[in-house]
Amino acid sequence: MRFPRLSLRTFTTLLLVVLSMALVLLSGEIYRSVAHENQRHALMDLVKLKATEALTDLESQLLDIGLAIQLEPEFRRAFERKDTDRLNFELDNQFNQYGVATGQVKLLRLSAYDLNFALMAQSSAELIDAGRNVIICPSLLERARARTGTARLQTITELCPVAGGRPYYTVLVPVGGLHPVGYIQIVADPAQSLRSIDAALGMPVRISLNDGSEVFRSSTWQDQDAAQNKLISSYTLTDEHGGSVLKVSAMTDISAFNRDFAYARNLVMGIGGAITLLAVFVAILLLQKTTLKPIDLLTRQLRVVRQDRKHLGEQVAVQGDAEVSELATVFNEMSGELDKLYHTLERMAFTDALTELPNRARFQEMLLQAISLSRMRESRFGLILLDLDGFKEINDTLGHHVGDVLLQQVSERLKRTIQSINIVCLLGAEDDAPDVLAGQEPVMARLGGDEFAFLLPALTNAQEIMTVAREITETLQTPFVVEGNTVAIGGSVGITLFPDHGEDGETLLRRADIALYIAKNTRNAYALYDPAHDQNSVGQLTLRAELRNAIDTGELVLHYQPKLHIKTGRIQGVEALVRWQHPLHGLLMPPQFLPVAERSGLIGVLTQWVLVEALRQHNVWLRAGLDLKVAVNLSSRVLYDLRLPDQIAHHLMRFQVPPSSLELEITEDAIMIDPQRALEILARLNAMRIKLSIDDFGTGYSSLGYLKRLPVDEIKIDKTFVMEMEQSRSDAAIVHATIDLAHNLGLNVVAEGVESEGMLSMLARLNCDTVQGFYISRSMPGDRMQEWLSKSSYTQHEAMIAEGV
Amino acid sequence: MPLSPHLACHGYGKGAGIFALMVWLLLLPVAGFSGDEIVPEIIAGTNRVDAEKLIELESRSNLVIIDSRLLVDRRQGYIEGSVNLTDTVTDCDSLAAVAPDVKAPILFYCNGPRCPRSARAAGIAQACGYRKVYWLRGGFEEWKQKKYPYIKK
Repeated sequence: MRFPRLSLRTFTTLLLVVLSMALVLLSGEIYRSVAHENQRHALMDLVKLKATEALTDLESQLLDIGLAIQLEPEFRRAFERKDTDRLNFELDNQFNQYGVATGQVKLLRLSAYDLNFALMAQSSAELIDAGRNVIICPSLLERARARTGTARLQTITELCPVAGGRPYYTVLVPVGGLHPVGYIQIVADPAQSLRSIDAALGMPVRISLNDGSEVFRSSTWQDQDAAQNKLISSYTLTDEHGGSVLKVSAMTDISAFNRDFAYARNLVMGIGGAITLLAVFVAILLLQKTTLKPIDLLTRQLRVVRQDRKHLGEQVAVQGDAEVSELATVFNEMSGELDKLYHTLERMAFTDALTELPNRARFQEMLLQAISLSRMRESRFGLILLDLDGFKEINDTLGHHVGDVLLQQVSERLKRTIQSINIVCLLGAEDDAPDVLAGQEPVMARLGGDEFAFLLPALTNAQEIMTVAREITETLQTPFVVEGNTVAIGGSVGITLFPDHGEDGETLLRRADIALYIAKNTRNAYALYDPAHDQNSVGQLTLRAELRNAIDTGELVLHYQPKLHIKTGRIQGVEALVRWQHPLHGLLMPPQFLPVAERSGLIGVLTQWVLVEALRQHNVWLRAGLDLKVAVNLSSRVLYDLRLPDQIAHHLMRFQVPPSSLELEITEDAIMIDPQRALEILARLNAMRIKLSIDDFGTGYSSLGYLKRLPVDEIKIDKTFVMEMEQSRSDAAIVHATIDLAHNLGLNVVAEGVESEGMLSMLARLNCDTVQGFYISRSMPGDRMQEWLSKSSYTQHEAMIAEGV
Repeated sequence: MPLSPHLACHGYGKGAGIFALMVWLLLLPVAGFSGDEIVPEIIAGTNRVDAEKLIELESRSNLVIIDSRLLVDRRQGYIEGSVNLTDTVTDCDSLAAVAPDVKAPILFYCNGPRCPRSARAAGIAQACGYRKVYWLRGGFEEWKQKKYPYIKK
């Protein structure tokens, strides 16, 4: 069974009301029974008093009679002569004289006894069943006989035990005063005297014997059953030994009393109820004031806070008892602390810790607000994305601390720029109502890394926004000074307009990113989004996001292309080439994702991965009996990183690979960009006895003379020259001259792009050392190398070739 | 003009004094003529007895029992053998009429312990030269209460 849930207040009220009603009813019932019992007691006391009075009266009357008879001269004479006949006569005489029933006294018998209590004479009236010469109430005579001394002079009285179905009241009086000669006994009917109670009390009376038989009843007496509103009370008269003789009952009409009583009881109950209700009311009021109301206030505040956290920290004023006050204090303290914590968390969640600018999450929120605001006003706003150029290099070369300080300085400078724009905007919007300006301040945020974003709500056309973009990029052109270093960085900006370039924030941001990408690639400082951009750049942008993931999840693989040493016919080594096994686009070649990796700063991670993977594969081959040198391409971007030599040394150690088994291929422009730093790195690698080669030789602007200064061991002639060699005499001449010059400088020469036997034999004639290309083999996964080697005509072991030749 | 404290005090004291005097004068005659004359516990030179002693004296000597009450009280009952001589008429002559021998024992009683008549009469008897004066201080009340027989006519 399910009970409805009651509040403490309702439950307490119900309980108190039920208790008070029970109390009132109970008190009424107790009051009634106590009142009736009191009435009965009072009536019994009254009956007892009247009955005792009646018997005392009877005794005194009988005494008078006895004392008078013994004084009679005739009686005395007969007594003294012991004349029984005469005594009988005299007693009859006296009996008749005092009457059978004089008023209330009903004499039953007179008896005369001698000093030894022997019966001498008796009155003869046959009023009782007992015959003549029967001693009535012998117990009285026994008591009289037992007395000694002066006590023998005393008169004695007794309500006798019932004999023969009759009650007797008797008195014994000495005959002869102070000098007794015998005794006279007067016997009377006590019931006759007790009848008078009827009149004395003014109530109906019933007298019954000990056996219940009725001796007397008033004419107005009613039986108990019929006695409505009657109260009956009885008093039992006892003999000398406590045996009951007569029961005297009186009946009183208590209808008036009951009426009064009912009124009184109702009054008592009413007052009791009123007092209890008042007490309940006061108790509830107190409970309400001290406990329920404060708790209710706290509960309501909790509900308010749950609906809107802005109400956190609001103090609730609560008055109540000590416990509740303490609860309220703790509640308020907790609320305040939560409020502080909430604000801190909010700030942490939505603010970039470094620059104190809104972060990406906050910016996206603001973007959504700007969109809905602009929709409402049917206005436009601009979104600008800024990406710093060359920040990654600064971070890598000067350290993260410098990078952080630089970011702070950049954000400060940009903030000022934006503020000045804002002032211009506000001045321009002077005529507008101030509320229109709400939410129109430009917003600046740091989206992460070196990427910043701006919202320009007050600017309405592309031209204005382009102006701002230009200002932003120009602002950055002034070099920064960070801890003594003069740092020059640039920035690329992508721009979108709402609603022209997108109806939602995601589209706007994505397209701004595309525009940024375009700006970077076109070497323009800024670019406004153009739908035409989408076609070729969306894929790139997606790749950028996916590349990081690909490195971690193993979507990247290395393929290896063998290098043939022409003179020995030996496969001397392999070049490791990275491939991306993309889940959607299939196998991607380096040109498809390496530029993305270089721009997004992932090239370092990618290079590390390639190095580790190539060395691991080298080890696998070695254990399989293949000793193949591994060549790894180094992007010009990583030649900034002075940590590179140490990292490579670490990897070599890890895979127990001798440095001579590793070749590093670099491009000409790698050395052109920052020759000093690149030279330092290359010198250290060279010192580690790692072989270095110049890749794609001939495409750049470097001269062979310049090569002399480089610590390289090898050049790789770009395949464009090699592939044209058979058709173009000039290319053949270039290859020839290059090979000769390189040899003169003590460098090995590798020819790439060998696709036919003719090319191979031509290169052999030109004394080219090593060849690489489809004719020898396409690149293949590492685990297929052994199989390929065993099937090919080339060998892997120098000794074997030597024997064969 | 306000009364000086001395005058006010004097006036009050004088009033209180007069009031106390009047109360005393009013009470004096009441005390003097009251029936509630204090009955002594003992009377010097007389013997105080109870009902039993009376019976004993009566049985072994020619005790004269004097009922000192008014006749109206005596009609309610009296000790058998007693002689009525109200205290107001008791003197040496009236005593000599009922008890000629001053050496014989003589006993006085009246209504009860609050009745002064027997005490007064006993005093007179002593003054008249009776040697053995007995006094039932409990009087007829004690007698009747102890259920001893009496005479009522």
